[in-house]
Amino acid sequence: MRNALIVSAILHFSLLAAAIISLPTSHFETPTVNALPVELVTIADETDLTEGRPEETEVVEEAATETVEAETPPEPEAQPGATDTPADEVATDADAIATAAESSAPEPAGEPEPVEATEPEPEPDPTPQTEVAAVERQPVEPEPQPSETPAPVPETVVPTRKPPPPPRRTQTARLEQQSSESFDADRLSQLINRTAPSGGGSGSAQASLGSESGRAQASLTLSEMDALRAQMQRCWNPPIGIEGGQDLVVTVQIRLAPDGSVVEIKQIGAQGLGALYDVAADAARRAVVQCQPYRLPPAKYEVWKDVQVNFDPRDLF
Amino acid sequence: MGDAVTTGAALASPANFSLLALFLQAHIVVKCVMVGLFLASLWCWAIIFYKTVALRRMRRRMSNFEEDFWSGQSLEALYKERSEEDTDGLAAVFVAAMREWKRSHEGAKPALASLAQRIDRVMTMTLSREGEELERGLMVLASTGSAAPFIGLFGTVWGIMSSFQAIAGSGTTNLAVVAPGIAEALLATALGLLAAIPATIFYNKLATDIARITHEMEGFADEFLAILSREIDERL
Repeated sequence: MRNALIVSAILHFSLLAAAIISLPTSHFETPTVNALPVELVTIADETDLTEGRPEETEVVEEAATETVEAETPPEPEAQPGATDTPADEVATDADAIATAAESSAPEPAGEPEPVEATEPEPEPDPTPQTEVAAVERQPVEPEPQPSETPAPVPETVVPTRKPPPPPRRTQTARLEQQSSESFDADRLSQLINRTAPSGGGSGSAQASLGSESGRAQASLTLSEMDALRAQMQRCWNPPIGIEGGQDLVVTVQIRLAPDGSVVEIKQIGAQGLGALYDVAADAARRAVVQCQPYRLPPAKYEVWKDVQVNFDPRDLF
Repeated sequence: MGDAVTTGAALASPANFSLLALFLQAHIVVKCVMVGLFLASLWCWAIIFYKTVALRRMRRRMSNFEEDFWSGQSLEALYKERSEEDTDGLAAVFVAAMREWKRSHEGAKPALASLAQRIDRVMTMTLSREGEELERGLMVLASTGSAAPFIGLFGTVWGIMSSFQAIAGSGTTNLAVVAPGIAEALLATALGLLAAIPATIFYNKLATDIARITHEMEGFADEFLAILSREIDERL
């Protein structure tokens, strides 16, 4: 017996030692987590959504393209003209606005230098208008410009008069003219004010992707709709007993007076029509008439003035 | 209670989940339970080893003796040979019966009238003594197999109680507060199962083996009694 006990003890302690050594000693730290903030959201906030209309998807895209057009055209085409003219014509004016308005100034700044380098060699033959037109086209292909056509190069430098500005960069060009005379902070703010909306997109001002009726319906929140329906269904005695009665869903459009009474029942529609239409429609009409006036938030009268209620027998069960 | 607070304090630091750390962190009651279960497991395995070896030896001896017995050797010679050494199992039964037989023939007139009954009594006594000897220790296995899970469960419940106290002490239900207490508590259950499972399995095995051996011995006793009583009846 002693031998067996010794054997058992040896086995146990070796097993224990193996377990202590080999089993992973996992250290884990759990960060102290404080209570999670829970925000209670009423149903009203969630359901106050605008019903969308699939056929009006264009609205947002239009707004987007408008802003793109307003922003992008000035950039590429204003570059050559803007750098040309201030450099030579208004050179001394440190034109903060011009540099601020065009963030991509460094690009064109590189171009005029080679142009000026070629200046002295060709003879200056002033035909300003046409040359300016040529200059305007040149930016499309800037590299061949210095080598091929030396003639137009001096033209850009020579004219002291501002060339007829390209119609697209009206804002910046006008601004430069003004700023050359006097720098005005108000004008700058005007400029900012004017450019901001073009970049902002349609925003909330534009009623996009929604219908008026949808908006109106959704403004009556789900809980208030339910309240109205509950008030109506209290008096509702649906024709359950007849065959197929459970499928008779009646939609009633009613107009309500500010005190909650029914002015008129405008329309009654029912799905699953047939011989039972009259029965179901009458049941719904009775319910609507009997239970008036309805208690609804008076502040939202405009919203529930015309309201549509579904009488669905399946809701009862 | 003091332990609960220290547990809670220890939880602020990263928890250590090695076996040793778990044991050292545990409440004193849980420690006692663990140590007790460890000792129970130790004792159980000692019994298992001992009994397995003992039963194997017993069966070998029994088959040896049966070979000798049915080899046609005279019973007198067999008795002389066996009575000198320490006997067990079948040999013990045989020796007891032969001793009674011898004693009955010692007097001037052999007492044969109820010799068969006396021999039967003697053999039954020997059988029960041998059976007791065989079954010794099995009780420990049975008790461990049935009680160890409950003891482990007790440790677990106690550990979870102290972990709840740690929650109450620290005021948060953070995992770091709860986890070590529960882990150490579960260790107690694990130890209980670790002790109970082998104990139960080997209890069943050993009990079956012992029952078989006892049955064999009873069969031999009956056969031997039949032989002896035939002899007695012939001499009457």
